[in-house]
Amino acid sequence: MLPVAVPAQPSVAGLGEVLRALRPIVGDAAVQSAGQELTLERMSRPVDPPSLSHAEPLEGGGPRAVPRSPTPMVAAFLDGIQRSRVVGHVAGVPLVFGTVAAVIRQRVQRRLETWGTPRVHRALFASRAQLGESWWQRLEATALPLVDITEGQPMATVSPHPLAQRARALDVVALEREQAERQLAAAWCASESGWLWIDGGVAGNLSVDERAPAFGVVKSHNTLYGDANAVRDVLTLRAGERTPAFLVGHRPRRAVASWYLRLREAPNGDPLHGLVRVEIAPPSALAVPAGDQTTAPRVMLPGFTARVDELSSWILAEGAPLSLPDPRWDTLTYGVYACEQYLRSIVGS
Amino acid sequence: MTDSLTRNDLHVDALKDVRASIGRVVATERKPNTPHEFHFWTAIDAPVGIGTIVLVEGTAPVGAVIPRVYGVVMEGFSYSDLQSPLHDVLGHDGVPGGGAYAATERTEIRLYTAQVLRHVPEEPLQPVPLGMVFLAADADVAVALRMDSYISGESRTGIPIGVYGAGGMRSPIFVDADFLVGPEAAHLNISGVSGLATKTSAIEWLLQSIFAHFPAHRGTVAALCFNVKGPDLCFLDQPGAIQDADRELYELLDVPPTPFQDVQYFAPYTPRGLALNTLRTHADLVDSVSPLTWGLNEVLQFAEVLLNKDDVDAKADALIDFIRERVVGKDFEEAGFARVHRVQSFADLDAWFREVLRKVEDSNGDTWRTHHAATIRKVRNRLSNLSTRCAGLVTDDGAVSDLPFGSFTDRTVYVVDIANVEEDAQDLVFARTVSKLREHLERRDLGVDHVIVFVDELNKYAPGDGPDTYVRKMLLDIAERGRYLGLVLFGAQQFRSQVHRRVIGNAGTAMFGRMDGDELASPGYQVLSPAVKARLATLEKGQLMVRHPHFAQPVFVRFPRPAVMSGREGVERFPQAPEPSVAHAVTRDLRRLDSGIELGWVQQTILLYEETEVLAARNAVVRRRPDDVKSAFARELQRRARPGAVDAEAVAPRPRTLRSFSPDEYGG
Repeated sequence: MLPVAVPAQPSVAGLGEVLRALRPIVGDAAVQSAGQELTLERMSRPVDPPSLSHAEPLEGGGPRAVPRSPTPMVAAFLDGIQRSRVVGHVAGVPLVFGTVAAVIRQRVQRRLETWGTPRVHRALFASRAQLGESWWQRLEATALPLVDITEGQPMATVSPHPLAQRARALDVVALEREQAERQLAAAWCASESGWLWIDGGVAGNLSVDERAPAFGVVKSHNTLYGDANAVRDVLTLRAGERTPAFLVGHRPRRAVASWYLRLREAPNGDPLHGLVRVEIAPPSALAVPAGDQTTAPRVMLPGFTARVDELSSWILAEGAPLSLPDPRWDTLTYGVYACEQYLRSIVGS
Repeated sequence: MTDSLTRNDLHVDALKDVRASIGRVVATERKPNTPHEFHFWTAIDAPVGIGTIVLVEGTAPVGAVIPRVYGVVMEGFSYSDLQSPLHDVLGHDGVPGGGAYAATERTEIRLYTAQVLRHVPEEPLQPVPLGMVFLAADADVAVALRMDSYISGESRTGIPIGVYGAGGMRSPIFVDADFLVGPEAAHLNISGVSGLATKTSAIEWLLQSIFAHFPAHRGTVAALCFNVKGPDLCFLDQPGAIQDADRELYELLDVPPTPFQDVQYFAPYTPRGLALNTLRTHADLVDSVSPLTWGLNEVLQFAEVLLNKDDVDAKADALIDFIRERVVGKDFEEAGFARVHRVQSFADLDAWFREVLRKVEDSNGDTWRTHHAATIRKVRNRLSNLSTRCAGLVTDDGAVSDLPFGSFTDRTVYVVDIANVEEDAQDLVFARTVSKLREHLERRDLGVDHVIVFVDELNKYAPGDGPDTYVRKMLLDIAERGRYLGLVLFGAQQFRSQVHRRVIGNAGTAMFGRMDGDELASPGYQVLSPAVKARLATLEKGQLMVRHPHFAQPVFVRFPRPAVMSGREGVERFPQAPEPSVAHAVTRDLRRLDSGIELGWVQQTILLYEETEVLAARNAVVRRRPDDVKSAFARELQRRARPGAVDAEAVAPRPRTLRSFSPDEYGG
């Protein structure tokens, strides 16, 4: 086990330092207003329409009660956050200051402590192609870390629309956050044997393989997996019940085994209340290339159902304490909530 | 992207700081730090509590110096990440023991507010910087409380008052003798509820400490304690049982765990005059108690202590002054008097009054030397009454046995036991004793340079409201001017709020034991935080909060149980002897002068005499201390049994003219 960590200070201290560095380039007025805007994450973003997606059944039957576990077996929680702000414009091109951070909070004697060293990355995100070399070099001269959000993109596909560039910057920042989370997850899986609760899916995380003591918990359900009958079963799950496991093929990511689990229910209320979807790396024998449309349940490997039940029971055991006052308290476990609180304290809101 | 911030060197350095420190200073716009107050948080299990002294290390140099700030914790807060108690109710399904088992405990914070004790450097005085917080070690405590200026070096003046403890560390706390005994400041006041053995024990301990550590270059010191209730101070010379923990404190504070080596006890007689009026009458101890008896001369100087304003108007006051200046101790001769009067006792004074009144009546007039007959009668009545009101202390025959004014000795405790005498007599003892101390200290001939006067029940003797008594005026005088003379007041009371504010205000050092909640609610305690009040209301035996001029904030200390026998233990170990017979009392007293005196001889000798004659003869012998005690005693008996011709003439009834007095003459 690594010792309790101290949040190290990033080489770029924060927004103030970035604004001071950019003052000669974007001017005083822009700098003064830059820090007052909402983060891009808080601004409304276009959301994909809700949809159903095909899923490969791995277990037969319908919803089932999860046997309760007397002992919580989750050892740690992983989560990351990101903050992006437009700090100025040069020649109509937005300059986005992004911060990503990720942390693992390990449970020691029922209290959460930071495991290892949290990841904190800060940089200025902009399109080099849109800025042109002259401005890019001026930005480089400020010694601020720069990330080209259109690197590798053909010039013809780069939109000059500032909102499109903001959206692109936001996506790149999100990728950086995922990268930070993956690094931490990999470090955990390489050195620890206790189970790691990862906030979100694990499909893109190659370090979370079938031997890794880690699973992901997805709280958002813009896409529901399964056909209409399966989804009906999902929406009528009772508290403490799960669906049969299924295989989700994420192109271009690898497939993961998944199932829905109802943590809490609101009778006659929101059918998504208290509903999470769990993801784990499937045993290699069950993994299939994405796009295999076989509908019959696969022959389960001995012990897989038991593992799914076991993980489900551990997840249910994390139902207390509640993560109130967070509005996502029905699905946000306290450990992940604590990770977010920790990261906010070192990154800011 | 930038580096991933996994620099090991930075991590290790930061980790070292975290392990050595116990908290971090925090400040927000809503709760900022100031030059006199700051906030910090600690781990849940940090050894920090109300009264803990901490050190803040700044991070940015000011004038090339990293600022260090010392503070004492005065308030504490604890809260979790819950926004509303309702959320916890929801989480437990409305049942305190219900709900699911929480594998993770909620994040909880311990947030403390500390008052600044000292900034280093002192200038510029800035708000407390953000930084790491450490428990104060011994050296830090000394600096924080500014003790470093007086606890070391050849001219050190530190007096250990107790031990401050936190986080397993124990640091001796010293007060400055120059600010405790004078001349810079002086006086000490201690408050606390009764029955917890705090006030008297603390004073006893502190006197032991003063006697052990009062610096020679500051002169000599003695203590005079008025025992005004119970047996608390009656066994200061007897060893008490102390625990190993107390012994460790004595060792740490370098004070010998022994009873007082030199204690002198004084007590008046009982009204009957056979035994001393003290709880220290056990046969093993009574020899160490000296009688405290005063005659007319001693009492008349303090007549106004016993006579209230209704008694002593201007006319009566003039007559008393006349008696004091022209009659007492002098040969008084006047035409028409049967003899020359030499008034040395109340008996003599009464004979003189009878002569004066007879002359007034014989002259068929209303006045004598401008004093109206009614005034004379009233003064005679009041003065003659004094020996009755203060029987045992004031003697009719003028016998005087007093404290050794002029020969006080260094490191000696003088205990005046007046616990069992009437209030009037207590007032008289207090007023005269303190006045004599003051007189001698002014003349620098008391025998010591400083005298600590301990008075319990200060709210009775120097109340904040009520009549302006002589005793209160004296206490105010000591409080305001005593330090220049070396006359130091150690006062104790249960209710500090009821003591005169000038007495309290002039006490340089204040100590507080466990306090009553109602008392803490009075305005005088508004400067204390609720947490400090809560701690004061729950202090254990042996714990005190101390305020001292050098300490910017009060500090909590623990002091050892005094190494003297407690009053309760003393009365069990040395039960009070029953009042002796006249023969036994005389035998006991004369044996101090001549060990060959036997009970049988005394019984035989006094057989034919009245008790008052026997006691008067005893008092005379004890006062004169003759070589041949037996002969002297026999002579005194015979002299008192047969009044001289002059005395007989003075008291013989003579025919006199009858006249009536108008009612207003009695009004004075």
